[in-house]
Amino acid sequence: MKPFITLNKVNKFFNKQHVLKDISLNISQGELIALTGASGSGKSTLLSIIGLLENFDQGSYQLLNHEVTKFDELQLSLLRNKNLGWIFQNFNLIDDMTVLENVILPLRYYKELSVTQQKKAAKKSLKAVGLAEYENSKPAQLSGGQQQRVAIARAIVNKPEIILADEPTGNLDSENQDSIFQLLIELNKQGSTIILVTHANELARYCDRIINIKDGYIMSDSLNNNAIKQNSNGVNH
Amino acid sequence: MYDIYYGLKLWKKNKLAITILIVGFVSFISILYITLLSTFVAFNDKPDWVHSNNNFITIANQGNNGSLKPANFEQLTQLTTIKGISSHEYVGKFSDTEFVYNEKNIKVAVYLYSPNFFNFLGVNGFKNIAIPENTAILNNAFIQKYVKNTKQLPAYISTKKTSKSYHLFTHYLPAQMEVLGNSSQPAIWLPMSALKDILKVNFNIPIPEEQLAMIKKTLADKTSVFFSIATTNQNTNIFTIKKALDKSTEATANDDFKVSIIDNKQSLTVTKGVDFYPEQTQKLQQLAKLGLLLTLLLGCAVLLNFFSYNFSSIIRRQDEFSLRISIGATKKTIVHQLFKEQLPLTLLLVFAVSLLLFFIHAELLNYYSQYFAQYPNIQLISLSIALGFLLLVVAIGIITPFILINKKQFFTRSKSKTLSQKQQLLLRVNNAAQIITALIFITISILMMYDYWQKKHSFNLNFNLYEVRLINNNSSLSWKSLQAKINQYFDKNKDQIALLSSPILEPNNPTLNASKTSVKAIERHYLMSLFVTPSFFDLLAIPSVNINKNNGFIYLNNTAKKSLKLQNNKNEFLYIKDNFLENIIKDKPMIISGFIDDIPHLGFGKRSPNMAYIDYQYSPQILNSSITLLYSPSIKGQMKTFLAMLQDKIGHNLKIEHLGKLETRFNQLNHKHNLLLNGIFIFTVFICSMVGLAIYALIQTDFYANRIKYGVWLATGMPWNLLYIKILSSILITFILAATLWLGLLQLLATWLVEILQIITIQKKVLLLSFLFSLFITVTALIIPFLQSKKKSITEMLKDFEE
Repeated sequence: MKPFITLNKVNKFFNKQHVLKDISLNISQGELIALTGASGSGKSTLLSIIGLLENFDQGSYQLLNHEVTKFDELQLSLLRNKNLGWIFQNFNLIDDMTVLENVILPLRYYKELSVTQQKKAAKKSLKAVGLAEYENSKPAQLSGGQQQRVAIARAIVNKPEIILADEPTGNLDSENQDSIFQLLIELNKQGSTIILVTHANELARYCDRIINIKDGYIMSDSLNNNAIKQNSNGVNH
Repeated sequence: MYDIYYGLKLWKKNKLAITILIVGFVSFISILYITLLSTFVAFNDKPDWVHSNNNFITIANQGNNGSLKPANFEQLTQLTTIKGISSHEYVGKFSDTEFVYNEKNIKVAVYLYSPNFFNFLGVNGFKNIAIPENTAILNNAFIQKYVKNTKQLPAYISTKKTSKSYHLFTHYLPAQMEVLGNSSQPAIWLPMSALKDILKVNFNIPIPEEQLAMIKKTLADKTSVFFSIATTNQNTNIFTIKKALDKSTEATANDDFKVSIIDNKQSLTVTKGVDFYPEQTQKLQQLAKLGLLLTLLLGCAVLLNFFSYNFSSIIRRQDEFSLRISIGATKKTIVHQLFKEQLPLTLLLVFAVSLLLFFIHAELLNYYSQYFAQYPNIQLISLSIALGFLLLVVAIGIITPFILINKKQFFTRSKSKTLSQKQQLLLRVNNAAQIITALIFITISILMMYDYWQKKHSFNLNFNLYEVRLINNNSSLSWKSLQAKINQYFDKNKDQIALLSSPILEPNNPTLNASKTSVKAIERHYLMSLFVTPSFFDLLAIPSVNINKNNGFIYLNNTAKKSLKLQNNKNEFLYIKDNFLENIIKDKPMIISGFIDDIPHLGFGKRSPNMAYIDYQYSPQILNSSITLLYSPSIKGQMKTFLAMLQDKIGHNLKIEHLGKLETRFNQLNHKHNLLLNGIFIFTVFICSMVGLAIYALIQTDFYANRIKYGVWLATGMPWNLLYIKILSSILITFILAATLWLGLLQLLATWLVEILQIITIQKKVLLLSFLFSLFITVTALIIPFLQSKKKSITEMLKDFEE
């Protein structure tokens, strides 16, 4: 499969601290990848670089066959908006907005859709995560699992090729963890490439590929042939 | 506090930003300090008379030492029943206040006139003006001397019968007006018949025979001559004078007199009084309205801000209140808590703000109506409004918790930190009201500035309502050409002019109606030739004399020249004012600061305007220890003779400094105006710089405070520049609200301050540097946040700083 994320000897420094060291990585479409490692290993930084939230200092990074270093800020914003969907550990929903407004957010910046179309797309996205009836609620009125579902709905509303999740279940109880993870797997099955950061091995075992980061290096990058994927009924494949 | 809180949080992350924040904060404090300083200066840098004791009260107190009624009381006062005086059309109209005391069959009337009275006379050509017959003007200086020498109080003010009107349109009066104008305050009139004795008692000098003869002749001709001995204190309140008169009258009366006062429970009472003539009253009312409007708007701003504070405070503390409720607090206890917390703050804050506003506006109004400084009602009204707002804001402050706390929704949504739709609507309304208030205030400020600017610079003949203005755009400054222009105007408009200069030339003086059809052309010329009032000198910034600091001053006229044994071929006059002669005799020091010798001949008809002229002190920036003599070339030789005589008399105490030509003076004045503008510019530059810094600091703190939200926006694809514009626009709105008061008031205060402090050492290079600095700061403040924010890591932004 043709890789559409290619990192070649990417290095990242934070205040002279070398957090990513010669990271080279190819990711193909449709992969479900877990970035694992201890706290401070650099996995989140790697995800941020892949997700265009962070710059890197050395190396090259090709996203969808484009060299991202050649992009200006506007083009990067456009890429983030169209091709990437972000899911955060702490959900990062905007409290002032309703659930629907939060989900619409990515559709607002470039305004290719009319307001009605935006609402329609957002509702569709909410329905996909099972929260259609909560569209007028405020995030604070929802449970943690529900909030993360809203965040997922926001991430997929623009139908991005790549979904990036930084510890998506880190703030959830085990029941909600499973629920969210199943949602991600479902998205992956629908064709989305999903890269998630987790230090929970029990979650990583669901993934096709596990990349272990330690002290800024890729310690291991292995296919998980034993990936456990469940269908929506919870039956193992 | 919100900014400071996040600023401290920010310190660990971005030292540059917090440094800028601190600079901005310090700048804000500096601006506050400068404002307060300028206010302080404005309050204190006043002419001496502002701070001097109330002499009249002092005299009244001295009257309590047992010295009673002067022995020559009856002779002095020549008390006579007043008949018809109040029926005269002008007395009631123009006198500031009329006090009438009834004692047996005698009425003692005291008329307190302001210079406006005489200005008005000048404007209207003295037609049908009735001045109580045989009246002289008495003032504090005289009274002091009188008391000192005689141990008696002359505070028995009287007039003779005044049933007859006199035409006082004589050449004496203009000169007299100048003297009165110097007082700027109410004067007390005494019978002329007492003058001779008074002069003898006080100065131990006789009135020159010629002068007496002149007086007698004038009296015999049924015209009146006024001699101003001195005047009351500048800021003496009319009612203070009344009180003093009451007291001194009582203290110095004989037993019968006293008994009658006590028995009848009568004292001097205000029986009638019109403060100013209509135009001035109207002007003052306009000023008062303007001041009230400003106070109102600022009060609104304070009110709304305070409401916002209460509102946001309650919203912010929802969790706390919910917790309190969960552990047993009731709505009542919460309200009680809020009440206790907010009431002291409300009272303190609102009191301080109201007081500040009141003083600022009172002084602003005072500045704008400086020639009516004694008028007390403006400030009282402002105070009332300020106090009204205080009460209103306190009430709102108290009520707010009740309004907000009773919303059930508030308690049912304890987890939510968001606002209900009603609350959001309320906030929006509040914000909208604040923006509107700010915009109105800015507009008003601009209008005030524009008005000020106009008054400073609009010296042209483009007047509509019979205003008379001196033009200064004529480089030759030829009076003839000015006259020609004026004539051209009047010929064209078929209007008549009664006065050239006069208060109209004063930047802040009300417009006078200078048109009276009854004023004939010849009168017009006559007046124009004579009425070069202090305003004229004020306008030219010619050094003037401060009566309180000098031992006397002079201006020439015919009679005095005679008395000084000068040749008198041209009918000039010398009026002797105050104790000038006495000082000359006693070799007391005098300073003559300058002469301006190039006034073209002002002559219209036979009368020569070749008078040496003394300006008087109106504003603190004018030199206050000098005398200016203004004369035309035609009497230059005589002036030299006269000065030689003075030099001979006064010797080394006479310091003469030639100030040069009038044209030079005009140029100096223009230069001063330019410097004033420079001062305004520098202040503006300063403020702009501070605005730039403040915007920068606000953007930085806002960016940090909302970084998670902004981070999400960016992570979901919002372009940086869009975010920047969003932040900047929200900050600008906030900043406009916060800075409105300062920008508006500082502009006014700056012009004020510059004028008062006479900042005259500003160089063009400094101006240029200031401007460049300002430009740099402002542009940097707008650009750097943008550049910096681009460098920020979105992942950093998305980390919860509370971690």
